[in-house]
Amino acid sequence: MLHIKLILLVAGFMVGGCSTSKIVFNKKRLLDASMDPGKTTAADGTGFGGVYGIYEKSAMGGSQGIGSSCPTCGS
Amino acid sequence: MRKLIQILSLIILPGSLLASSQTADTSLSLFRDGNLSLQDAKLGYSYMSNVISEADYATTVAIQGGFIAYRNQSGASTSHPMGLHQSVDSRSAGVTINQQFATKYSLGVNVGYAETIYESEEEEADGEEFGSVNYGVNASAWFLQETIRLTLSYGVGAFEQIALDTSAGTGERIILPPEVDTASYSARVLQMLTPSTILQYGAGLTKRSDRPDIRTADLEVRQYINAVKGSVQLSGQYYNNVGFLSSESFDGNITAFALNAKLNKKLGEKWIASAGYRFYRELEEARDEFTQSTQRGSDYAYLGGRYRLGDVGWTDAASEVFGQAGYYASNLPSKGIGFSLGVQFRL
Repeated sequence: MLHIKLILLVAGFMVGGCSTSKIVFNKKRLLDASMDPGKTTAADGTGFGGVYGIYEKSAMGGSQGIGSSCPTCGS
Repeated sequence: MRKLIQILSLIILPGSLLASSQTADTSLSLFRDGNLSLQDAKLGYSYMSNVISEADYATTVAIQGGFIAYRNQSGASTSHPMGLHQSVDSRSAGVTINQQFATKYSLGVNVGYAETIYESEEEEADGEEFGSVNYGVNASAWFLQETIRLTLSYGVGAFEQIALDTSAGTGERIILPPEVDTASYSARVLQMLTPSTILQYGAGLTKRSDRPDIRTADLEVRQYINAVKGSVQLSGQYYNNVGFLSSESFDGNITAFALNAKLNKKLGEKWIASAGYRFYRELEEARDEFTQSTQRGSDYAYLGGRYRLGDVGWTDAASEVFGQAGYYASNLPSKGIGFSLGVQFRL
């Protein structure tokens, strides 16, 4: 049931996004430093991921091997 | 290790000579757990060189890696997260090369490796090195007037672990293999939903030779709020590792989720202050009638800051100094304080 809800949620956002293709795209605003989607903080990639990695099994199992990312660490 | 450094040098040197822009960053993190006397220190680094051969055709070479050291000072115990290990040291490195075509499309390849050394009272593991390696490819494209980017990734990998042949509490024989193979597939979308809203969502599937398939999904929304000159980030992640359990793994079926909220606010012309909270819940189901289900949960609250160097606008890339301090508490029970400090240079 949770899977279905998640799929519906993602599908809903995609449809919502497609309907806004005529928006005035303000790339400057979206690339503002406080919004930058490519920006990671010290905690995301390097710091407390180490703590999650030893206490939480999703962090251990999901990120085995370098190059994989921790699926539940967030950003 | 030496061969990898030689390969990296061959990639970095030509790149740094031709590069139109380069970014290098490093950060150090420390965590100390008051209850279980666990400490970890982590040093991370990355380097990115962006070579533009023609307008709209850029080649990006990125190198990242790190060192992490865990120390157990409470003595060997099977109830400790580190088990019977007194220390675990790990080092890793990876390279990603990405080629962009006509601004809308890009193709990338990546390779990485890691080594982990356990110091333990167990003779099987004392001082021995365990390696892992992975390779991957990815492709991405922008759609709908460059408001939606779809990225597809595929990767294969293998990691070594301590091989064991033992019996579980029920008498079931468990044989942990010396090597585990993985294959992963993922799809991710970054969507510019409104002039001040970014959505990111994705799903992944990882196949492991020793465990059931791992299915993951995540969703994040970022909203800029002009009135407060800041942004809000809300995100959630779901993890599912449920299926037939072979005799190659001790753990039961695992499901988990995390919820995150973060506020960013610009202060003056140089600072961005942040405050955030992460909630995590994990359920490991009983493997049989002789074992118990385990529910783990944790809270992590943090404050952070970024200081932008030089006179650059908010929408331009800048060198930065960043730091964070946070409090982590789980029901293990375990709680502790961590700090991070880092710097990023843009050349």
